[in-house]
Amino acid sequence: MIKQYKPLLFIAASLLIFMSSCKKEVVIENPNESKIASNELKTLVKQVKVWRDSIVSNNATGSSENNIKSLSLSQNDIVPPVIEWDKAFKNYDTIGKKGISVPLSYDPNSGNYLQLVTSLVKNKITGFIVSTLPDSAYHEIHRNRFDFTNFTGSIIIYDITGKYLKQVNFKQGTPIKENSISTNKWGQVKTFEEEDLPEVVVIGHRKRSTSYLLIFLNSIKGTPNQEFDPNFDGGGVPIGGIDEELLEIINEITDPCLKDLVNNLQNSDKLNNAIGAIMQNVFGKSAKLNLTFKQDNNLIGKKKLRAAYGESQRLSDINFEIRLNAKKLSEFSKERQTLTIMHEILHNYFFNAYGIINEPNSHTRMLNDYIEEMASSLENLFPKLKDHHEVTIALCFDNLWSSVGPEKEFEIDPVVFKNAISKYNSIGVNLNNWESLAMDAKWNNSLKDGDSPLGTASDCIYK
Amino acid sequence: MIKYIFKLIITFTLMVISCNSFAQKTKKEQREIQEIKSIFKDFTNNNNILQINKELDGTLILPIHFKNYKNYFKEFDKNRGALLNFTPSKIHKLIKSDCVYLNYVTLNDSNLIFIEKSWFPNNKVEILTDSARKLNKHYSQDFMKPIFFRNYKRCFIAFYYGDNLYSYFLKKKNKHWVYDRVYKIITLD
Repeated sequence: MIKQYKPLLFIAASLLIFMSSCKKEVVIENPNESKIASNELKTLVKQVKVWRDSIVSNNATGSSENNIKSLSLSQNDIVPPVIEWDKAFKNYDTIGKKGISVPLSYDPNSGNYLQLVTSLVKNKITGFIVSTLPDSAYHEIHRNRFDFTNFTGSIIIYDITGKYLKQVNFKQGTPIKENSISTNKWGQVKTFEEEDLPEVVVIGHRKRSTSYLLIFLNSIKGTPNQEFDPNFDGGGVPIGGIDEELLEIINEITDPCLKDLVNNLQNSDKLNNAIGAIMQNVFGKSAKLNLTFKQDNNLIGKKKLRAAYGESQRLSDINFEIRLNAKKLSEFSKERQTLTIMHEILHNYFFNAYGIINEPNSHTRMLNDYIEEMASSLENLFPKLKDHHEVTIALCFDNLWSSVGPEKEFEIDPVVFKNAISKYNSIGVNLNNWESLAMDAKWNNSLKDGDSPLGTASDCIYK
Repeated sequence: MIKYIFKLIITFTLMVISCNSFAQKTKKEQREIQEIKSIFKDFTNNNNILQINKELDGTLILPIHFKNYKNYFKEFDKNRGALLNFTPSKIHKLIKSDCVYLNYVTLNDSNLIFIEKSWFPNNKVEILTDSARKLNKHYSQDFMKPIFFRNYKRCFIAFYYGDNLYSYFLKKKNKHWVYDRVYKIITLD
């Protein structure tokens, strides 16, 4: 009987041996991760504490905590509260900084929230005491002190010793009476002013995502900034010189005509060229963000198998890359090529400014909020378009037309596109025939003779 | 008689070993599914990360399964495979062993994990089969299978919309998955 099953048993046993000998996946474990994170916070707190104490002791008559109160205070200044460092938490914002914030006080009745906000970039610490004071109506609705969704109220900024620096009033997320080039609503506010100003980043958290208010301080110079030694062991704070700025926009385009168009934008007048200003202010003046232009004449959509004009890549929180297809773009006039470059710059700007927020998607945001900036910037670079504003706007619509489609996560809803055209019609810019208008400046005339009388021919032609 | 008893013992031992082997595999898959459910739970209403398609009435539209990297790159995207070549990076908080593991998984993993409605007890869900997707031109999202590493403390997640790639690292904090940092986002125009 058993003999009868012997071969079967042998096969079963062999099979089981084979199965059991299969390799199991190795799981990489790191039990120390939380400990590392905790140590990182402790290190940051230690560095910030030393930095803060060194500034306060330099300004105060003595070095002890109580001596802060003996500083002469003007009407708007505050007595800085005692800082409870064990309440510190880590902040990482979307522009590549890290730092800590320490809650100082919170009044649940008024919503006034006082906190120490610090950031650390390239071994340099900046820090401010920030008061977030919502107006009563806003506070009724948004009782979460971290909620900056369409914030209405005041942000008051003091230096680390309690000296008043600046007050910025907001109404529905937009700063009031700010001399700014561009302001964006929707819970995240940036104001662009002069370059190289100290800035305050106030982090908030909403249910949907992290938001922040970025406020440049133009009312003061010489805000306390000090460098620190990352290996600092408690023996003092070395004070270093100014950071050397690196070249943050790298133009690796090899086609000379296309390279020039990128250079033109990079060197444009910041006051009259909003897209150029974004490029220069956001990517060109800070070591924290890097934007590289590359040429790729074989740029093809892998899934949809289509040739593409440009591609934007967010390679990390601080590294951005634009790839341009010089061959494909050479069909276009210089004006239309420049619009593609602007389009890609805006993608990267949105990557940086809005992070993971994709509502509305980037193409819809361009259509809704940046089409005028694109048009005026283009006219700044190509002045002959100024007398043909409808052509400029039509070119912008042409630039966005390939991004119209059903995919709501990255395409413009056709109805929204149509409504945008209607909006221009209603203010007297007749765009019913926008495709035909765009033709007046779209093509490289050396290729399509006479099609685009307002377009500037490009000398670089690919056969 | 002793011979047969010996054989039976050997067979029984082998069965126990193989059962353990299968159990381990199942346990790992179950853990992965638990973590994926947890990711959906933590991010379904924070749609900035997963960007799940939603109908106007809030119905979530999801593919029938996660795509595995091996087939995806073979089918569509040979060059993008190179883009996902992980290297040690302070920016992405990746050490060498992370990269070895992530590269291995993206190149070799061919498992399919099916998405189930029961993962979303609080949402109306429509699961699109592959054939239904072909008819629905409004939907092109491909979820790649999440890759868990460092003992399920970190996760790499990627998805495509047409030629647009979104990829992030998530981390576990207080038993919840939270956004850690971006890996790559690519928009093709």
